[in-house]
Amino acid sequence: MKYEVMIVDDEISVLHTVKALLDEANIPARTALSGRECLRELEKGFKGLILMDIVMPEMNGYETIQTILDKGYKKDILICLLTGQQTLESQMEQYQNYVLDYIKKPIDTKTLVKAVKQYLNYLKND
Amino acid sequence: MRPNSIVIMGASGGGPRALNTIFANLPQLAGSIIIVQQMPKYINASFCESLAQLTDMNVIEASDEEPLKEGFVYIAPSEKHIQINKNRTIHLFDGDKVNWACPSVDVLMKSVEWEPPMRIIGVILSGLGNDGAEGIKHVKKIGGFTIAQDEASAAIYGMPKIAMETNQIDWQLTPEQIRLRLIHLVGRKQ
Repeated sequence: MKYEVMIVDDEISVLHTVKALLDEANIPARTALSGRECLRELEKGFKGLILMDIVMPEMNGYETIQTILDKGYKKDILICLLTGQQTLESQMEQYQNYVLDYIKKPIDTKTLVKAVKQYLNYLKND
Repeated sequence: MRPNSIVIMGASGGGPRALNTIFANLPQLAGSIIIVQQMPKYINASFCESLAQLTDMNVIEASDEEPLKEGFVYIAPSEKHIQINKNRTIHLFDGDKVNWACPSVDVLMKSVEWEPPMRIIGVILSGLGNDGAEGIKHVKKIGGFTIAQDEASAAIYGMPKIAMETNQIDWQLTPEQIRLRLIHLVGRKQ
């Protein structure tokens, strides 16, 4: 099974930057500009690690995660949140089983690539 | 052989990164380590395998009624609570979430007993929420040692912050420092 990374962020610059980092590390990745686009990719069969921004218009990161779980996408995906916030909503506590990491913005290349490789490895060895 | 120490580690988001650093080249210690890491059940096995590659400790998924042995790391399986019975054997059971968590670090830490000269060490790593705070208080009450990950290195400074607010944390450390402190407190297996 082929596992990839999906970067979900409403800022195109973030999508381009993170994808470029992953491309350089030979990690297959795709992008989604919104929570809804993320869900469409899941419906098309995406499997892998989702790097998700929290603050997005229309459907934020929390709402997207809730919808992912409600729709039953609980296998073959892992979620990391990309966050520029110092604190997170307490509602995130109920998702702590599914959100494996929080990667702070501005994103450190080494931290990101190392974490992504590790989490893809968890899925590959499953 | 029976462990000279029981180390209990609790983590959620950001925990795997901290654990990778703690266990990188960690030698076989004379104690047992039990880890509660919040994660989806379908990566329990691969998480164990990944950690096992880093350390000389034996890393396995915890199973019910398993006796604690020195030199072993037991990973709490997802969706079951874990306790230690009389500081000797693992007990897994179904139950409601505690602090939004199952397994819960509080449930595990509060099950260990005062049994000198055995050392009890509680470690709270990166993660959201307050799981582990009551457990830390218990560990101190029975004469154990307590460690919280520091704010700068924690992906999410939630669980460690709440643990610090108990005023029962002995040391606030980076993952590298936690590794060294564990080697010092527990000692290497002979």
